[in-house]
Amino acid sequence: MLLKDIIKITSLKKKSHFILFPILLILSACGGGGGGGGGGGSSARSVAACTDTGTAFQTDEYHALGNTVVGRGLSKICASNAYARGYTGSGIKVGIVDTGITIAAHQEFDGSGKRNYDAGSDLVTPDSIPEDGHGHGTHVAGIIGADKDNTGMHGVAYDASLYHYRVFNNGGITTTERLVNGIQKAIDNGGLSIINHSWGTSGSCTSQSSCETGVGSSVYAKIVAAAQANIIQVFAAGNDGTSSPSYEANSVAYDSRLQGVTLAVAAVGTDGVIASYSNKCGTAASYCLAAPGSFIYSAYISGTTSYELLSGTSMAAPLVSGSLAILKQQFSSLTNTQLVTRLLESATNTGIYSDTSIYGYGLLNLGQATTPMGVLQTFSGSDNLDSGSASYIDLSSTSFISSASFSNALKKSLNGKKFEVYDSFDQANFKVELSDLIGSKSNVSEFNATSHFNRLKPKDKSEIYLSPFGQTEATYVNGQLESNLFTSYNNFLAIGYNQDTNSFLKNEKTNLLANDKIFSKNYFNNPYFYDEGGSNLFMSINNNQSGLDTFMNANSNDLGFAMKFNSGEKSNEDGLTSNLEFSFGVAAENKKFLNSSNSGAFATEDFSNTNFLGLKYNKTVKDLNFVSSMYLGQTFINEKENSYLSSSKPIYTSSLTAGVIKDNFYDPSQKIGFVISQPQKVEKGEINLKVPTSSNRDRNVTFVTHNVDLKPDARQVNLDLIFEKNITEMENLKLGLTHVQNADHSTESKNQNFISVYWQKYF
Amino acid sequence: MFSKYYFFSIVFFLYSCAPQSNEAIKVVNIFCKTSGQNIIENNKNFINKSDDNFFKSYEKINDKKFSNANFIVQSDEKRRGGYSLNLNKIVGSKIYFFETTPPERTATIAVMNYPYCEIELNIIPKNLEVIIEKK
Repeated sequence: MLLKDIIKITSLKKKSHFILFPILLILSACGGGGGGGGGGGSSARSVAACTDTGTAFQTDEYHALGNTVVGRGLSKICASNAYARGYTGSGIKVGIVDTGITIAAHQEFDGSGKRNYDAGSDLVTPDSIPEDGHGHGTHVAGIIGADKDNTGMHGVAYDASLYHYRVFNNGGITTTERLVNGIQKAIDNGGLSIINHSWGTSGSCTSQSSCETGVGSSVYAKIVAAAQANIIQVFAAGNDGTSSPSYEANSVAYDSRLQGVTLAVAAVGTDGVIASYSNKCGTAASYCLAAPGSFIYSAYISGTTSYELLSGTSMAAPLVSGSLAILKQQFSSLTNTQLVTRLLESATNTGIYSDTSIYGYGLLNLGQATTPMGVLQTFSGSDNLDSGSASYIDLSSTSFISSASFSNALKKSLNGKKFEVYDSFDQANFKVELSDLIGSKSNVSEFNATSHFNRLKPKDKSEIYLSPFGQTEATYVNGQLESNLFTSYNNFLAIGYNQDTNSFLKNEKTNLLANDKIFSKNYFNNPYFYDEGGSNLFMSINNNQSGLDTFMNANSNDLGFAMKFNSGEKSNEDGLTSNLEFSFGVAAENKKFLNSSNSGAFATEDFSNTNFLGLKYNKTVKDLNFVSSMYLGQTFINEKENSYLSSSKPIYTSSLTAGVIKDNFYDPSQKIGFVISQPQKVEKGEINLKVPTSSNRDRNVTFVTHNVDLKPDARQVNLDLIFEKNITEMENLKLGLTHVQNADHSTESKNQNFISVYWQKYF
Repeated sequence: MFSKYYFFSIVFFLYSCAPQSNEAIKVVNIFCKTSGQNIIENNKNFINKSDDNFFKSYEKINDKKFSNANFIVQSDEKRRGGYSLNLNKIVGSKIYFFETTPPERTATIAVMNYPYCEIELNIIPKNLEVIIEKK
């Protein structure tokens, strides 16, 4: 096969050589394309029971609310998962229309924001201090937001702010007037997000009018007014054991003015099954869910350290109210209606909870509600989440694997910086560390023990295609083609496949350094022709003092070409030869730059170009051969629309190599070489990362631009020493020593040292 | 005859020295409220200090108001607020309580509860009866 191809290429006429480069260009242009956004979730909702994973928060105090039984109370709804993500209801105001709050210095309410009273908030004995003479209101308040203080128990949203409205007297009963005024007080507060109603009026209704009659028109009007004020209202379903909630909780089923921001809550017992006393979701199933309600341990009014076990849908409702406070804190991008929908849609609805007539949407699952329900997506193209021009890309498709030439600087610059991504389910905002999406390529990944050892092996000379046109330098060595390509003088045409592109150091003396692909690639090849992996194609057309190299990386469709001008090899009678090559060209990288891999929200457009200059010098003085190579590049990022990544200035890079090889080291059978080099590094340059960092309930998104200086804080220097001794014609010994300082241009990298010995004997 | 005289004398003496079983029952202290827990088990509606389980029941009262309680009365389970238990009258060894029920279509708190009274009586007759009347 190989021979056939060689013959084929050999038969090309001279003028045919100039056709090859356009062909390569066309081939590369055929690649690319791509893309497509993701999104969409499954239509059938199936949410399994949560696993309580926030172990650091699963304290005795945490389990106390469930009567110290693990698996009840807060652990049943996986509240610790939310705490582990940093959400505790902080900053959210919850109103409690109930029997008031204990005025004793109860240890569960001595934290800030737990005793907020509006003027006139005691509607029973009219004043501004809603002292609880029953205990119910205190208990409910504890379930919502009792302090987390390593004593007693704590509420589900233990950092929420609580506002108390005493509407029910010490017997747990109220009047229409008190209810009307109490709810109005809560509305007038102006800052409440949620009102908890652990009360109700027994009886069932089957229409808006019958519900309104059951509730009483004046109270009903206030409930509607609160909904119209965009306050989420959570109602206990009632304890009559009926098939549908009591009047107030059931009203949402028939009144569109309540729908979206009103919930009914049924109670499950300690066994997780609907409690015998609890009204079922029934006709309000579309606005109803269940929560633990039996034997709930919470603060009481008998003293500063008093607690009580109470049961009822009164206890289930505040678990939902507190959970909503957590969601409201976590998801600034969601409206109250969306928060309610999220809470419902995240409820566990498998097993017994699939019976909507009993459990409505299922069992409260705070663990699920606080995690992505669809797929997380990046957002760009607009400043509003609901805009038609908004562009969403799955986060899993977004990454930025940076080149080692600037990865250190990029990582450091973005360390600790977060940005927002959005749940495809409802665009709920989640925070993600920018650095989590940033990966790094490495200059030293090839410096492991195996690869260092392999550097001393003879190079692989397979898959070489050569057209011996003119005076080619290509020769057969041991029956194989020598893989010297891109030689910048003498007439020849060469085509290489997956092959080392360096042949500047082609003479015998420098073979010591150039005889393995890894070594020469790192130090003497064109550093802007990123030929890592895949099917790389090379072509070089040369005459005596100039030439053209072309390169195509078939994997990523990179293209490159370089014009070369060579002084020609000069030599004199003293054995002094010298060779100077100057090159310039351009490398076009498809959807990446400087060998970084950008995708999704960090994508770049086709062909970011790097203009480069190269200079190589080789001088031989008797047994000594001096070699050097230097490349400078100027990279322009081709920005992609809606990408987070942009750049207004070019990025300047450099790479340097210098070395000396001595033949006849002690005796003619020995050679030694020393090389110092610096891999490609950004000398100057910056990129801008414009990422969304916050969003509000109007669904507007704020972007922040991070200006990232790409210059690393150190310069990687490699020191290589290679020794070779031909013991006999059939026996060869090689020694390699490498010292790497500031690997990947980072001051934080440890110095690395390698030593390899290679002994080869032919039989 | 003599023996009859002595017999009646001895009986009269013994009767006069016996506890005054017909002494009026008086309430020294009383506090009525509702409890979230079933204070008195086994479907009984009262318990006094002579019962072995009294202190077990007494400890279930969260909001104790005095220390010398010797008698506890409790209604059956209520599914919402608005119920209360109150002393009505004492007639002989019968103590009458009335249980107040919330009016129809009145909003109440949605908690399971047991109305109860924590009581200190001056005496606890053996034939004590508790009658809870619903209003």
